[in-house]
Amino acid sequence: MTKSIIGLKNVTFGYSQNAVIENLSFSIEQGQFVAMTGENGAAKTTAMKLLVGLLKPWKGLRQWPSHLRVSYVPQQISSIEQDFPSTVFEFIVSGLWESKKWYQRISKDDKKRAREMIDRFELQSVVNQPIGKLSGGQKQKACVARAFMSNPDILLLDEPTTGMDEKTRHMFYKIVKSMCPQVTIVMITHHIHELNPYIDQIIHLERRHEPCLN
Amino acid sequence: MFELAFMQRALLAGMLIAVIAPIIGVFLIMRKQSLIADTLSHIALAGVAVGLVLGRSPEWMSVMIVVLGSLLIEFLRFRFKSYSDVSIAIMMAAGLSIALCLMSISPSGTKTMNQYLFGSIVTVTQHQINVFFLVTIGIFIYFAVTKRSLYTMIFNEDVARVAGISTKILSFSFSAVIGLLISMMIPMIGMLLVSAIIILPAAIAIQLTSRFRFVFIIATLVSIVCTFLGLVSSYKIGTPPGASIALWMVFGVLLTLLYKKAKELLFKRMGE
Repeated sequence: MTKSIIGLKNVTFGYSQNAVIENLSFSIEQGQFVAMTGENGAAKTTAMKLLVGLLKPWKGLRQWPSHLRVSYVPQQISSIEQDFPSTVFEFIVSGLWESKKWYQRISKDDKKRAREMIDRFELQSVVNQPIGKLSGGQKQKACVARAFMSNPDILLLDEPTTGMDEKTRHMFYKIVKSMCPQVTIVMITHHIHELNPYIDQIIHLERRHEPCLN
Repeated sequence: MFELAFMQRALLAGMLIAVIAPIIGVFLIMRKQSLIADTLSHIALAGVAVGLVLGRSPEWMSVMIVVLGSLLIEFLRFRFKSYSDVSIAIMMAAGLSIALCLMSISPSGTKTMNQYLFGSIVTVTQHQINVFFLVTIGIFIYFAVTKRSLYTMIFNEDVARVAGISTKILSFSFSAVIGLLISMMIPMIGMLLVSAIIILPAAIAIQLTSRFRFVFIIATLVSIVCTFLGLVSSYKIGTPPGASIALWMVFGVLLTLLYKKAKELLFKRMGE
């Protein structure tokens, strides 16, 4: 039986005294590909931020072993400025910095891995272009490729397919799925019908904030 | 001209500024905080005024007040998260008004104010250079250690926090470092032009390359060339050194924009 590694237990949270999440509980097992769904305003992003520790719950517990390495790709991250001084290659390699000390150099093997990641996400044609000048979908792919570079145990993706067409989305799901079970992946999405063949679990958040686990 | 001791000191001080200021400039542009340098120079003036009124060293008092001011800007930036420019507006107004009020009380206020408004790199002393050299080394070490974290934080604060970077400490320390550098530069460059010397070489470099490492190299080279040309032209024509350096940098920006436009037109023609 696989072990549950992360989750929330009876968590309540809100903004300015208004609770947007009440008694939310779910657990995620190691190596799973989990989709988090729900209508707009169902506090999916808030739930993810609580899970990753960016927000502190008013009540309840967060289950998160301290040794786990995590990467997070927030919503609308593709709004990287046009003049952001980085090529796509540099940007993806920068994901490695999170797992290295300031004095550790980027080795040839690291660069080779970055190139493999670029190939996997089909970004070869834009590898030397400024990251800020890519299309929204390409930026999203670059952000996720960057997140994988830090060798995370858990990857949290908040609507990463925004700006991608259907074909690209399916390619994206396949790549992400291929990273499991080495990486546990939690993805917020509105395209649950498309994602169904790839995922192991759905966490559905209702506006009343009680999850139904499938 | 460089056989003269004061010109040698000016060149040395200018080169120290030229290698360290653009590094800060690049990060400031990336963080969309280009105006912070201007604000901190206004606060530095308030520091000078406080020093004059209290009978303490205006230089050290301005260093202290600017570092404190930079921390306060960062605190206000967190408070006005959605309107982070507000913190800059508040501190700019506070700095200048405190400076003007206190200067009017101090008998030597106006004279000293002019000195700090316009600065002069040719009157820099060996002691000032020694202190600035140590500060430059300190700032270099700071950026060597924090460069990667700063990049991640500028890319996205949430991503940085999840990666274990203490973004608050990093933001506050970055602001303090800017404050320290600006307060050291003001007696040499002058309050009115200090932000130009920090920002313009970085602005040129960002236009010329999209490679992160090259941005720093190009910005530093631009800064070194403009500082040298500024000092030479200032000596030959008799113009103020700070303003001459800044003018060369403005000229550099115009040249860069022209070059980019010409390149664009050329590509367009080749495509037709």
